Amino acid sequence: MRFKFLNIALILAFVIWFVPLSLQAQETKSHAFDYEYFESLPVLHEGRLKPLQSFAILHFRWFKNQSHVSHDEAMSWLTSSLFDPQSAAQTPLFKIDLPELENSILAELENQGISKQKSKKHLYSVADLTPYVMARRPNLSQDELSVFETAYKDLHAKYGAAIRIMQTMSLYLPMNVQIPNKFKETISLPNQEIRVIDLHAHEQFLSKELKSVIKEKGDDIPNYTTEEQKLAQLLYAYHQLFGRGISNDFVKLYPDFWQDGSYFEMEWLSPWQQFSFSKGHPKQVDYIQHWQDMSQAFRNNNQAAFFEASKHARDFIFEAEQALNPSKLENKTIVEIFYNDFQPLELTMILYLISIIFVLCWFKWPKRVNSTIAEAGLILGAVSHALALILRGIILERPPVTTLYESVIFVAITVVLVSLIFFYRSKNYSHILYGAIGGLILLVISSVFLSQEDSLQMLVAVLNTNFWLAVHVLMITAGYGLCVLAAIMAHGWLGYGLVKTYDDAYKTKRDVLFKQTYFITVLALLITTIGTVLGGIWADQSWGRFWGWDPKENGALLIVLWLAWIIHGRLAGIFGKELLMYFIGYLNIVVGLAWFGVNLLGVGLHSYGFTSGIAVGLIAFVIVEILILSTLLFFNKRRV
Amino acid sequence: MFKEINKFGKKLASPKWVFYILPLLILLLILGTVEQKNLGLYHATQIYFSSFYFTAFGIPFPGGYSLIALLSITIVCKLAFKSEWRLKNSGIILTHLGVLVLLIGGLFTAFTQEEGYLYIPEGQSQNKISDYHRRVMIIADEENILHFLDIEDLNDGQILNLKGVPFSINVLEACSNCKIIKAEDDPSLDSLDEDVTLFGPAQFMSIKEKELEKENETNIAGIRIEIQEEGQAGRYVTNFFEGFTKPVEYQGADKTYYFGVTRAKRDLPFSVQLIDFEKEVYPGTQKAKEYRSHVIIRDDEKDLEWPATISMNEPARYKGYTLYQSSFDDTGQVEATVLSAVKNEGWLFPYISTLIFILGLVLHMFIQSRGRV
Repeated sequence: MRFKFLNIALILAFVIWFVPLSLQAQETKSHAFDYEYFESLPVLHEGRLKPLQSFAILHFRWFKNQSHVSHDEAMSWLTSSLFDPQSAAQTPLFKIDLPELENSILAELENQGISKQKSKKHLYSVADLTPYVMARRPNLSQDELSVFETAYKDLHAKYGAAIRIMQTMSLYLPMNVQIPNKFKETISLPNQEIRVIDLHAHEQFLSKELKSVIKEKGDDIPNYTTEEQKLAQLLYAYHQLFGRGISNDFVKLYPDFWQDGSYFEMEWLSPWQQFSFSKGHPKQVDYIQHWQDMSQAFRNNNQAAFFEASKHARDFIFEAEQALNPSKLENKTIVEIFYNDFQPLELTMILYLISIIFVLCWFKWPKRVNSTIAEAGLILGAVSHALALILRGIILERPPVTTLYESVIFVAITVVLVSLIFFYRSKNYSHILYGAIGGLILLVISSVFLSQEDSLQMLVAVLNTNFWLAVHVLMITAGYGLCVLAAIMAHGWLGYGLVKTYDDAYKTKRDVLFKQTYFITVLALLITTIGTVLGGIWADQSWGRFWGWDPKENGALLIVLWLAWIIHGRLAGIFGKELLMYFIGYLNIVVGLAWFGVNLLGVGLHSYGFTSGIAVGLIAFVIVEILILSTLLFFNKRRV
Repeated sequence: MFKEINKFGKKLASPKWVFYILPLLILLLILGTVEQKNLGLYHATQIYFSSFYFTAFGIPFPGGYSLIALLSITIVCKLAFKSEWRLKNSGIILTHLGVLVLLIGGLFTAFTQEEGYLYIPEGQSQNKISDYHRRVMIIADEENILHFLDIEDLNDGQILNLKGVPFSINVLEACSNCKIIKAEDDPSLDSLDEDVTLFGPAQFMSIKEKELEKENETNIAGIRIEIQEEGQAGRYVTNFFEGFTKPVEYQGADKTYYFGVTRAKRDLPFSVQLIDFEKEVYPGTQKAKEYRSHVIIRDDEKDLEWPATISMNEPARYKGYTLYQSSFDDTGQVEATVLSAVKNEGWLFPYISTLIFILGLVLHMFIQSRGRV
């Protein structure tokens, strides 16, 4: 039967050319909705129940290729995608950074006679991209992709995700078609809206009717009466929405209630899945009704009704969850929303920056107010930094050190805490500066990863063990932290040497700094070696070999060997103080290569994601560091 | 004599040696790691780390074994000839001892460890370990396996006259990774001498050497041989390769002989039966959360059997062997598990060395923090 629709479909394509657009458009909204309750509704995504807010932010960041996005805008986009996809399709959403790809899109649109100006912010909507994505099918199956192909693949993945989100509720949304008059009485329509779910029961009957029209008049639509055209359009739109929606399992919004009213924490369904194979428990019906109320209220632009319906939905789901898993989901949701809203790491960065500014002021104008603010900035920053890690640990129920993003955050706090310890032992404000600089730079680096991955991820099977994560990964990242701090302090020591004349107090300070830097270097050797060996023992426990020369293992070993080399250079009397500090300064590069550089290779069991932008950054960093250190060494040597 | 040894030992014990050896090790480490991109992990490891030397631009350079051995010698010399065995030095001595134990353990493991895998479909038992890397040609008669020959040791043109085999085997082509092509696409088969007869798979397929894959496990080893037997007119040519569905038969003058290429196998002193394999994914994703094999370990010698569960990070150990959950195969009608089986007599070395090392460094830090830098 559907094959016979082919000609009709082609003719109708210009009328209702794109699936989400075959749904009825709503009037422009004021976007003044209150998402307080709606954003805390759970969704099962990538193996974890998370609040809708996290889901929205994560996708919005990914589409916009930004590490920071407005939460309200993200929620507004998601709500509109779910309940009013036709409007959402017009929202500028995808940031296209590669000029070649942007030009290719604009050229294709022009080719199709669609007028589209180049976006100043390089942002394009689903509607802008649809003709391009439909027309272009590059071969992306080969191993090595060009920059353009990689960017296209990335865009295609984003576009696909946005479309699947927009199709999520298409079962329940009003369609942009009319029912032929003769069927108006046969087909009951709640709210006078035509929806896929209402048509479903009548599909066979309507198809039979259309079949008889085709038999009599053929495929040529212009020969049909207006009523017959309505029927053809109705069925075409139905089949399009049904065909594409039925396999959509992207946004799992509904728990699959069992007969006794409970449900498995991790068995959630998308609306289409629920429609296909749900057990149909009354509780399910109730929850879906809450969603429909929200949908209706949103489309009617009724903020109060939306707020009320979302509150009911939230209360309902947390109550159901309460019986199953007391307070767990509710508490975790509260924590996650707090984490998203409070953004402790952003606050941390601001506090570290304040600390840097005021400690520099203190060096110039040693007034108490400057030192107090600098000290308080670093302490409060560390508190908020630690809070971020604790919250992440609560949300994920594991040590927060498994992704590249998390490891950078953890290394940063190691730098800050060790600096604080040294500060309280020596009362040297340089340590405030070292800690704040190290913490701030590392947190800035970490934010690069935010637009590229869900920073709150579940773990692959081999890493899924809290014990080994705790002992090995914490140890090795703490070791990286000490290396970074030692390197910063070595820069500081070499910097001290630039002063041409100084008194005894200055010399004493510099000597103490030398001792402290050397001490941290030895401590770093201790921690990284133990961390590396523990990693070997974990590998022995998990994979049956202690050492496999995997790039990540080699990276860790590289740091150990570098540290051992520096220390033996000192012990053998080959390195004087300047050269020792010079090579300790290089620990930044060694750690950078071992930590990020090995991911460039894309081989091994440990690799956890990498992008070419980081490669450029890494190379630039290495060159700049070599220049800085060599210049510092040159002036130190000249002074000697 | 003793004086000279002492003098020489003291020279070797200088931290200068470590200072000069470590950069070589660092360079080797970087080279061996970067080369994994081109060669794959297995081959890069074999060339740079599991070797005494490697050559680049025709010049030999020290490999991983040599540098680790040199490092071990300097540490031994330091401990024997230089270290003053006093409390204040105890941290440093213990640290170096820990490193020495680790290095010696590493070398010991590298030379003695046996590693392989068991492929077990659900319901079946397995008591043979397949090697991950070694491929062998098997020659068997109707009753026994007569010979296992390492494919890597066979050279093109080599003539094999083997004990118990009444014919000579001329190796025409042995490839560590073969491309399987149709016989009609192989031009070398068009110009065969008149007395040559193709038999077995060679009648419809041929092999050609191709570049090694980065993952050595995915290479397909194969061989083409020519058989010449006294009393039999003419020569007989066939080829076969790893994964070919059945052994190749050759009807000799006295009886039937069989050929095949397979992974080298070793006996496991017990058998493992897979009852059930479970794969758990994170809900709504394909991301694996856990793999689990429910097995029965059976020791016929002791007339013992017991159930065990092997999962990621939780291996089973018996008779010196450790069985790890390594992979699975759900492409067939029944699921199969792949367990890696490792026999490593030196597995305790890293644990002991870690303890010594930690103790040493903690002592050193403690002593240092109370004294001078």
